[in-house]
Amino acid sequence: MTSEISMAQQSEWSDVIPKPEYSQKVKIGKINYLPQFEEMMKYFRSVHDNKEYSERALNLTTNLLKACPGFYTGWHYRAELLDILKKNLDEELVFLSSLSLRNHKNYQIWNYRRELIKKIGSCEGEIDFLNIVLDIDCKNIHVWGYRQWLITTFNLWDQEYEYVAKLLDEDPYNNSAWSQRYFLESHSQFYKTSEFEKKNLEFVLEHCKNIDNECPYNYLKVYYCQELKERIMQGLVDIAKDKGFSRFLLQNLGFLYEKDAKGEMCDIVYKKLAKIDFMRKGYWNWKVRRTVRKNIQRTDNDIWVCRALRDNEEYYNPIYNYYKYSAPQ
Amino acid sequence: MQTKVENLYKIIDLDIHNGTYNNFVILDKDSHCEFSFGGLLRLPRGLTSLCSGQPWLVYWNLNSLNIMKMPIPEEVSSQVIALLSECICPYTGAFCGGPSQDPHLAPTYASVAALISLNSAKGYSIINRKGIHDFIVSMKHKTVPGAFTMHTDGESDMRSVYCAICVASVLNILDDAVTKDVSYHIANCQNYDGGFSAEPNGESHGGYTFCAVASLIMLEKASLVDCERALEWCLMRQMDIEGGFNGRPNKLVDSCYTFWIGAAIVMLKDVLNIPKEVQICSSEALQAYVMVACQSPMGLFDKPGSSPDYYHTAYSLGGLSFFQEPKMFKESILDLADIDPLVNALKKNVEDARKYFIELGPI
Ligand SMILES: [Zn+2]
Repeated sequence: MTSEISMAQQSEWSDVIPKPEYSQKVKIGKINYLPQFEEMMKYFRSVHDNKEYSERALNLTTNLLKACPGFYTGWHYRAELLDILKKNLDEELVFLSSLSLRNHKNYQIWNYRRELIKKIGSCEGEIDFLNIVLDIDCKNIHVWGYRQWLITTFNLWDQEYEYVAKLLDEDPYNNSAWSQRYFLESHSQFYKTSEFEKKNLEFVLEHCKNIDNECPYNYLKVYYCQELKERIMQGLVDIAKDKGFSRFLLQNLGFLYEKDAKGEMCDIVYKKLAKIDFMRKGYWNWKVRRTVRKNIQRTDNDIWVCRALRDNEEYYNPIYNYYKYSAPQ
Repeated sequence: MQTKVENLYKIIDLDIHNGTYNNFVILDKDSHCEFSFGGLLRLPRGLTSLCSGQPWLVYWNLNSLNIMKMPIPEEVSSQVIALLSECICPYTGAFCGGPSQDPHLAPTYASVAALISLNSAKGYSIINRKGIHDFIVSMKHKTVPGAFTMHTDGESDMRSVYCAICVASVLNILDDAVTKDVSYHIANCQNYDGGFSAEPNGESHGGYTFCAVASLIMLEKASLVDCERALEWCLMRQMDIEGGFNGRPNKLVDSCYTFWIGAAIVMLKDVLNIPKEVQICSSEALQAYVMVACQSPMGLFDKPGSSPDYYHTAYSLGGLSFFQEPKMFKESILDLADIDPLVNALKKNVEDARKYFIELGPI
């Protein structure tokens, strides 16, 4: 809305017949637009219907997209206009960035950015820009999607580790950062080595000491392979001895026992969950007696888990999502 | 947020874990109907940003009225059909966000769902099945097999997969050209935690998980993914204090996930053959969250402190329709209509629509 004068009075637009949104037949469901916005849209429909590729059409999209950044037709038309009018794409990136900071929760803006960067062919300054946007909202799912695309397209894997480590350091409860960590691990050439995996598992187990944090407990599931199962079990038991049980910890114990076909141990864990995890009690009860009992041999850790779950007070604090384990006398 | 919700529960001495309360709360359907009905007639300036998704507004409000069993007057119904007719792209036959806009999979889904909500032959007759079929096929992603873009050069995520598959399934145009590689692509989007993301290796999200699960079921390919892990991820979204769902681990509660996560739970429970009578999440707590924490005098909102909107009204009511029993407040009658969790429209209407388009035969 750069001009105070209505478009109908501007000679530049005198050859265009503005097109109303709906015909006379439609009487309901209309949005009460600001008159200036409605007028711009009328001219937009006209030039867009006529496939007019002109400077004035480009300017019109600039004004419309500022007012309504989710207007996907405007973005697509604009991309065509830039192509045909051979516009400077670096300037376009500046325009886009200025809109993005105010409207970062938007599908269109981040998709348009992908298309634009593809054409520019360089990712210079992009990561810095994304860091600014993620500072505003570090869980913005559109930004993370774009960031993953950028990393994959321009091979930016190496520098990302540090960034994710920093985010998890600032907030270990940030699930987006955990998810990004997996994205890196699963693409890394080092990932396949068992040395690397072991080191990462220790990192995750360290974070599991926050027993109310679902994220590292979900992440443990990445490592449920044969060689690492023992270590996970030991890690969980050590944490439980120190901090008590949370529903996330118990869920993982149940999962490990399922993998080992230790049906009796599963039942003990799921019965406990059914008692303490109010929201999901019906589900945990359904899980009882569903695991086959192939392996009945109990390790020392299993025996400890049995006693701890049997003897312990059933006080569960839903605010903290866990109950304290106090060693039996 | 936790404290805000807790305080609201304290006002009526509600303990969602014990099921005790001093005062009960009703679902004020009369007012919510008035709100949704008003949204069909005229829309406030604040909704300008939705000018590119006008069929959504129509669909949300029709669906809300249907869920609350409020009949839709004949004049409104024919006006809705007139409005949607003008949103049809003259070149492809698919629906656009509004007149003279580009055809797009999301408003195509929303328009079809709105017409299902009306459930009239007159409404179904404006649907160009061949055009929509060819448009869906033309939206297949050029480099990612099994994915769809929303519109030409548009974004590609699990929503576009869902919109394509759901529309094709109901309109009886779900052929190999549409389904090729789709189920494998969806399976690629299941993550280590069991949830699904927009694209492979993204962050699991309640909305995308709904889209993935519903699409797989319509493709009859749920066996390609780990449904039990997906269900557990969904169940873990119900929050211990607030009672409502969040959309991702460690995020805030939000009433729209009553539908996204709720419907996914209903569908996965069915796939895993968990008996109907087993209550795998707490219906009472979900009712408490929506009724005590998310009702405004007219319409519903996402969380305390927000203002009501048509989207959250439709999705919190839609979710609630799955979880009406057992009751949190014995005195409150919910009496919400049955919703088809795959399509998110009245169950009876979806059945009728499927029959109607099967009778039309192949395109
Ligand atoms: Zn929401």
